[in-house]
Amino acid sequence: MLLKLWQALISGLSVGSIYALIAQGYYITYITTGALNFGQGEFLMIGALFGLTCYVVLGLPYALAILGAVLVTGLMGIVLERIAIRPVMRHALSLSWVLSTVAVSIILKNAAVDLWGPEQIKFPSPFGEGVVQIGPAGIFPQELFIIAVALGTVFAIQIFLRRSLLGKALMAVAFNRNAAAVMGINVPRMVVLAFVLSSALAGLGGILIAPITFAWAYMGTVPGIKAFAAAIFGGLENPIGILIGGLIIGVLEQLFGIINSNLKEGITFLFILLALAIRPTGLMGRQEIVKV
Amino acid sequence: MRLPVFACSGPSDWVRVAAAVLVLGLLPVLLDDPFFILVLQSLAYLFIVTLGLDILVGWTGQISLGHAGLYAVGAYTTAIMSTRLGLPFWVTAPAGIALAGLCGAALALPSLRAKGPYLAMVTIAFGFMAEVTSNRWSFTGGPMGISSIPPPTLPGGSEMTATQYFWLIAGVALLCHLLAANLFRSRIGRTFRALQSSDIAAEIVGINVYRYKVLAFVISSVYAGIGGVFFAHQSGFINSDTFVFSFSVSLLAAVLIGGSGTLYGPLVGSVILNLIPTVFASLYKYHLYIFGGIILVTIVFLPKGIVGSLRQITWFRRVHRETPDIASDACIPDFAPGSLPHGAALAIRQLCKSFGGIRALNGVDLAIAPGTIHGLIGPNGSGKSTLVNVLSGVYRADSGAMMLGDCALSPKRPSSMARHGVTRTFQNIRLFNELSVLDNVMVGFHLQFTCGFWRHFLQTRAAIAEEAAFRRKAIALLAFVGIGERAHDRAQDLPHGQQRMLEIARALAVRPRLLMLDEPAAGVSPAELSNLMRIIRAIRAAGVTLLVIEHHMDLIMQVSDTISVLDFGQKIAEGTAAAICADPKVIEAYLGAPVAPGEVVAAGA
Repeated sequence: MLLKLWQALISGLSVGSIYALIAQGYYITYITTGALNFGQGEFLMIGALFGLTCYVVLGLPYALAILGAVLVTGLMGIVLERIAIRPVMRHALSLSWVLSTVAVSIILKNAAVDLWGPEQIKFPSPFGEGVVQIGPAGIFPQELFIIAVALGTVFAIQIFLRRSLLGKALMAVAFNRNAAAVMGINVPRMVVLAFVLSSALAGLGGILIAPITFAWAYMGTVPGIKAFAAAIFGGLENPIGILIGGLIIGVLEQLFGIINSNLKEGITFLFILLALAIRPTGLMGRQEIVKV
Repeated sequence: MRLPVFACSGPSDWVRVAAAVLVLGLLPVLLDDPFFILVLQSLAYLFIVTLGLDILVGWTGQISLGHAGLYAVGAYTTAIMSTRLGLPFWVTAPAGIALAGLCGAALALPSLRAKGPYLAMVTIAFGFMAEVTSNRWSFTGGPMGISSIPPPTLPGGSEMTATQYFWLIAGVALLCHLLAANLFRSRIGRTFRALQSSDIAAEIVGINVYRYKVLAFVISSVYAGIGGVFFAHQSGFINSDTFVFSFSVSLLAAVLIGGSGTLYGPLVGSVILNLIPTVFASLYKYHLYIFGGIILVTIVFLPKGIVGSLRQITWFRRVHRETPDIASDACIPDFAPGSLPHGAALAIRQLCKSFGGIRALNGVDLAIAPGTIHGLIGPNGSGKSTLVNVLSGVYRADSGAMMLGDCALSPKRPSSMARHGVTRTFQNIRLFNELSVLDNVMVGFHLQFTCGFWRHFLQTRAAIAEEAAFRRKAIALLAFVGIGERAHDRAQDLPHGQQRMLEIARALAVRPRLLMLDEPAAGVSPAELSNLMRIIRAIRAAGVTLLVIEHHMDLIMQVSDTISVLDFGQKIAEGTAAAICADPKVIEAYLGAPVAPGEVVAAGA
């Protein structure tokens, strides 16, 4: 039993850090534009499949494949912002972006089926199929690699946002768009940057997680939604909350998976419903005071 | 001749209904092909679901990405009851619809405070829970689903044919449309659309926003449940493959493509989206490109949807022009003295309110005599707006007591203050922007309507008569504040000064005993200022107690009977205009303490 718990904890943390990685993308675009990419999951899928092509078909090293996946999804972020965000943010209807980003994700899914076929494809782990003994349990090295890279990236993004000039400019746009524009910050470019970062984070998540699941056209939707649950749980404007939310949801899922595989699928949503019933702006989000 | 229900519908409406009945009746006869009838059935019930979603999304501005779940509740309930218990369609269908409505009510519970993405998450989570439950639970048949769901039976006991079933679905769809149309033009629909613009403005005229959001969710869920029930008995077999996230998305897409917030948008949207798979059946490989492409292109280029965009074309707009001007019945002395309830005295004792470490109100005492104009001034940050927010129930005081007449107030929500006869206007104008000027005032009558939901839903004669009476009163109120000729314009198209007047007219519709005006002169031109003073004095003459917050000293000094001055959350002076102007404490609060000449030199050196 203890063995199972230990294994569930490690797998939970690795899946959870992927959720946290994707959710960090929601955070960055939400604070800068008030919108987010409901197709993050499909960007994750493209990251995985493109990475697969680089790594398996072209035989590039895993590190280069990661770089390729991040670059391609980052570039796609520019396109996404152009066709699905910028044109609809002027609209009166506040939820246009929900459907425009979902529309892009639908198109991406079809494209992925055309390019890579509808089947699940095995992504060989760069660390081999063996397990390493940590404590009492055998753990896939890929899981540890995921935790290290994903959490490292989350922290690197936060340092970028808080310490670098470019990152501070982005945060300035988030705090006050007009004031940032008056200070000479190119706001539209910062918005593009936010979507590039967000998309690249999803792409990175995709190539990281593919070796422990499979890579295929329909792999993205559920992780994308679960990452959204993590972001909502932590509070969309709270990066630390989002990180914790991602890890909690990942671990919770694996723990309940020990008891019953049906529970594993449903627990995230039950959990987020309960959390929102208690605190409607996320457990760690802040309550807004309405200014009248 | 007018029917006791649907009394709003004139001859031209009934001609249209008759035409619709004729078309729906003949379609399956003329195109007698099993596949075609199946498609028609699907279109009819998906239209019902889409219409229900539009009521939620397009009217009230909520969001649902979980409607597939509500659809599933209807479908599974009727399927399980009819296959396991052998109950007839006519029993299981209402049960499925009712259960879907109940689930909608439960789903709406967090909608009070959860907004935007957080509300989206609630509905997504519900949708996924429904999907997982139907897929994994043995009771719902798991992935195998439930099969041999019988078609409905006729009263004689024989099973309905496909054509008869289509007529049933189409009949229900037509009824759903007519009821939605009733709702749209009644006060219920108007209240829904008001919520989309401003929750707080709706609250201060007495609308319990929470209750109306729940109502919108329930209506929407009932429509979804109806669709689910029809689906289950159409296909005879259901499993979790239908009730997926992407189905919820396509419903929402149908609403937006057709035109959210319009009556015919859901029809256009659901027909287009649901015909795509049929029309492009040969291009199955590309159907997701087509589907996604259509959504993206419409949202980017037709943000108001197809119907919404058509309505913007002038020719259509003239056709759809709202009801012609009602003779503005100036003879109805709606605003004569005595037509409003008597103004009440307001007494506040030791009111405190803090935000974090800032004490915005620090033990304020205030007494306002009934039927007077009480001015409230003070430098920026002195607590004036906080006081109005506490008095109108927007904020809750930390401590202290408020008495209106001899009734102690402890408001939980602004709407409960409106019930006591306390309402207000806003410093930052909060109108129902998308509604007409007239409808803004009509929303203000919310508490005075005596006909409830069902009468307005069915549009009984009493509801129609009541609506017409309030329309005349609304026109009179608009004439009183001087914007009668703008009654049919959209509120957001008015210039700033007229918007302030509209806020006053809306507040008067509440029949207040205490009316609070928060900076009514801000942004009002000098020419309009005299009109504003006339209005304020006339309201007093009608017997209403007024509390006026203003930075415009001319106005406040001229109209106020008594003036109180706040500074740092405390009352520092009170009296007549002349007394206040001479009060050294007031001068100090505004201009700073007098400085001895020596100190000035020292500071300069």
